[in-house]
Amino acid sequence: MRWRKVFETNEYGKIDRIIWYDQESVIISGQGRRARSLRYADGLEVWQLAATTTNTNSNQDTVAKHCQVIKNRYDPGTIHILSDDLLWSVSSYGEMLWSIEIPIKSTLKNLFLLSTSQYVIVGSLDSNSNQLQVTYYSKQDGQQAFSSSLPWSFNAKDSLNKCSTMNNLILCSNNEELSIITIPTTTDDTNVKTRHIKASSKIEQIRILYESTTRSVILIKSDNGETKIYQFNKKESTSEWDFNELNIQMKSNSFISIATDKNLAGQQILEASANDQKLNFHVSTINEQTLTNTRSYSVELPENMGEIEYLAYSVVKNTQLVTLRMQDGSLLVIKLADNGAELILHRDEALSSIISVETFDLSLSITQMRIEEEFGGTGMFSMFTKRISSQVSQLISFFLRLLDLFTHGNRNRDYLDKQAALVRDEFNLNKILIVVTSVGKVFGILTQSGGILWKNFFPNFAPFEHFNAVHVPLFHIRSAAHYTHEPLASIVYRDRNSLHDTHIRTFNPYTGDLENNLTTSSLPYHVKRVFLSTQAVDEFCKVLLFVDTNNKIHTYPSVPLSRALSTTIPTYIYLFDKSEQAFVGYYLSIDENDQKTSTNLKEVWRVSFQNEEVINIHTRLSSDRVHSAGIVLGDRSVLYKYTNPNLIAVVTEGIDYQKVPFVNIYLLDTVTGSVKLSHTHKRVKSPVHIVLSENWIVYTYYNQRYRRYEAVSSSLFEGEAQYNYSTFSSFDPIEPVIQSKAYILPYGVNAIQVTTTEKGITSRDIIMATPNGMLIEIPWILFDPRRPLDLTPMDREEGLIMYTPEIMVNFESVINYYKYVYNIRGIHTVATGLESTSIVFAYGLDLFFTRVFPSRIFDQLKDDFDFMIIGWSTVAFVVGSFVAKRFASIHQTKKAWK
Amino acid sequence: MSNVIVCCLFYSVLIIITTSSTTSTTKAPLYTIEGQIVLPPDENNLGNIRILVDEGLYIGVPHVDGTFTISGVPSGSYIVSVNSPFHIFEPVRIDINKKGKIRARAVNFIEPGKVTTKKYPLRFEVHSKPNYFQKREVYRVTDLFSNPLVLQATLLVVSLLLLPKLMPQGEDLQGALQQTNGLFQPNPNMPDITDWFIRLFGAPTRQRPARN
Repeated sequence: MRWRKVFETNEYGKIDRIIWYDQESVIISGQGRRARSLRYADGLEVWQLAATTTNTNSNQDTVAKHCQVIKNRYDPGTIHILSDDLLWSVSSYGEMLWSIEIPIKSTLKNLFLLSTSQYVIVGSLDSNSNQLQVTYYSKQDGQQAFSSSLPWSFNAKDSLNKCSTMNNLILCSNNEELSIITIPTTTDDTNVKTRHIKASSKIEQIRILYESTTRSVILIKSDNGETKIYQFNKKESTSEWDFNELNIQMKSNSFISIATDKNLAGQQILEASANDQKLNFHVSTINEQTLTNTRSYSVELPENMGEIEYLAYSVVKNTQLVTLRMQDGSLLVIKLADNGAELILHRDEALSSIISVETFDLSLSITQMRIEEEFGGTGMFSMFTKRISSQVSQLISFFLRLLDLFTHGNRNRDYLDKQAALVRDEFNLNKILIVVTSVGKVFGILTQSGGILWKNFFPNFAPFEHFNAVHVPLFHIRSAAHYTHEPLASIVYRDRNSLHDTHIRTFNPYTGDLENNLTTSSLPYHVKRVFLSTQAVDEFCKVLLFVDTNNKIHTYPSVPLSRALSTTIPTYIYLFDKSEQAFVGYYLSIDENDQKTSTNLKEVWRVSFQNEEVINIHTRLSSDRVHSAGIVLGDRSVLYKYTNPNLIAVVTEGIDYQKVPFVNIYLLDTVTGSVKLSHTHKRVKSPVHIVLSENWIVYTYYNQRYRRYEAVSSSLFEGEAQYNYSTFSSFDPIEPVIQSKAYILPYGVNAIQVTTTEKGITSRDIIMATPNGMLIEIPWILFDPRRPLDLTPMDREEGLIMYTPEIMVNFESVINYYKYVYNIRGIHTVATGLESTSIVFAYGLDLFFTRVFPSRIFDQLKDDFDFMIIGWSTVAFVVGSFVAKRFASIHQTKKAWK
Repeated sequence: MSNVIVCCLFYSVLIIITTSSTTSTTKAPLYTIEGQIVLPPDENNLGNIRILVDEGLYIGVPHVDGTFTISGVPSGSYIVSVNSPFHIFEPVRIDINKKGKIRARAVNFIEPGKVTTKKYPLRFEVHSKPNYFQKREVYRVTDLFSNPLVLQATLLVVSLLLLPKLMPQGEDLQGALQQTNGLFQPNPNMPDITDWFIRLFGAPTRQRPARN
């Protein structure tokens, strides 16, 4: 990759159209509000222009802003942009030619933009009188020349979906008919002509394949799969067009693209279709009404990529190149040559749209399994024999390996390395990341190399909605701990076509192979929420529990609820009711002898929010471990933490009676429905990013009043005494003591997360992704709400730092160094076998993986640890002591002789 | 002091204006922020530099000569920061008033009201280079001498060697010293690792004084 420019994530950075020139390209973004030109050579900007005014209206438009960008066919250096009510022209060398406003009303919308050698023509629809007003503006200075109107039968929304413009034609589909409306190009001729093309059934799509001042080719696709191609030729010295159909037999799922080249006699037309794992191409030359010189190519794809979504065919220096975007987000470039087609580029662009991440431990190696078996016996004698036999077998395998090394040498080294990559290392540092992308492609990624181990594409994929984001539940059905059984992971997603249908796919995370017994596409209920059982049922597999729209709970696969959930610990479930903005808690009563596989939920509490809207919730990581129940203070007394595992953080947003926007943060106990913490922040803007762990919460927001990003940290404590030191219950009458502090952040925040370690002994670090591309690791003690305003000796003994409002970020704590990553949406942290080490995976537009050591490396040797020095110095000491002993004895003998 | 109050007032007025203006459809003019990035001449790599306005609300791309324009910005207050993995630039706050007049000042998160004006059009010069790496500790002999523990130890050793010589050579004291020395003499009953080794490897036994 030569260069890359990342634009804004908001509407302003959304690209509307790119117009390609020889040295640079003009990019129109922000719904026709900005034009910028970037050089191909180095990606630097040549010029930038933007609209000079904007509408500020709070009443959200029901019809989304509409924008049209065209390059003037008669003057290729001029670009006309119509953005809602603004019409402006720029030249390719960065000059704003003119910009005018065209008044719009709710009944008057500017829809079409056409251009001729003299005029820029805007077609605006007046929905009151159902007329299309056609206004001509001078191409030179934007002066309105004249206007006319014609009857129009579509409404604004239909017109946008069903109509296209081409030269001075507007093409509209109306059920089985295509209307071709010719807009006159000169002032002398005001005659609007309409002609029709009949199709055999309802027209689904019109696409313009090729457009020039004298010739155009369009494609009409009907809903019965029939595709027709029409060629338009301009009549001499008029503004009218002749058209004729091209004789092409096409498959229903094929895509068409047309390329022209100076060296070619006419245009070449490419027909592409995807068939399982194969792409078929047919290239022909358009010759009057027929096609000649048809050549066929086909390419075997490495995997199933679904249908074609976008196709572009181009001839560059006599090389025929086909660029495709597939349904699974893959970008393909295929070269067509005389000796066949060749896939020259394949990029999994789907990896930039990750929505769910899980990590799996790698499988144990055979020797590790034997060690596990070694400790498996029960009786003293059996344990002894097992131990001896396994150690003997280890010795034998060691000698066999040595023998293998001598006889075969390095011949099958590659194979062994590949095998070793899939086997757990000594400290369980390397894992498999399972990522689910929003297009429905699931990847298995090895963490040590970043290599993709396997990928699976699910074509009918649609994610669930989760507050203001999308979400795909991804579960460990069977973990890697049961080495006799393969591990299993499940994803649950909706059907793209019928959103009430739910699919479950279970697969082996090492290979991606589907487990067909646990895969289904038909659940007899509409799923509202899904979660994992607390207990393993058959063969160490956990089951999925579904709450349907009637608040009934089901298991998949069907097992009695009493086996899936613990009968000794009561089960509480909370659901969110979006229409009432309320959290509802349910109690699930399970009888031990009950064999029911589904039951109704019983409501026990309800927390509803008035005048505020719940925008997000945040739960703690399931891997969150609390090591110590309290903090030892400077005076040797203990402050006990309030570690309630049932807490969730709720973020709400609203506008108060003084019209001041506010954000509220609550900590809600999901068993009792009681609110343990509530914070109100006025003049604060979401997004609010939250980390909830142990007994503390840290969240960030943007303060509109002081125009800065801030973080608030709160800790909950039980106090000097602990209510119940062995177990925690939400029903215990504990009122947590809350301590809070606010901090100023130096940068904005895209995502935050806390590091996770195996036992939770290591101190915590907050990993923060910033919009400028850094991943920063900040120790939690900097966010500690107990940081005192003035430091007493007791505080110093406890290790507290004095409070400063600003959190200073040192560049040494940037964990991605020079490799900046942009538009990070989430961070995933997992514990490793080493207590000091937590692994961090940040995903978004870019992916980044690393290991962090929040309390430094305390349980491993440094990388540069010098084994030689230690070894030699030990030897030297041993030798030295011998020598010294001898000298000492000689000395003593001499002394005795004196 | 009055300066601060005026500024606070200005902001509160601004906020009220922006909140009230959103209720009706009006035309608001848009402005362009201009500036220049000055890099050291030997590392003129503008390729990975981005200009962020309010942490990515608007993103600018530098031109070949280091200048940049960010157009289409409505009036308000913004932070303009130049972002590069290899250089650090100080961010600047930009205030665009309703008439399109632009002024620049230093960013101060702790006291937002404090004004330190800066030049406009903006000029970003390399403030410093980011240091992402901690220096690896290398073993050096000079480190040994600067270590306080080592110094303490050497002092102790020196005093141990010097003190007996400084002391008066009294007979009784010498006896006492000998007694204390006896404390450090190896206990004859303790198994000696050297003996053990010698026994193990079968060293010639005639040298042992016990046999003599």
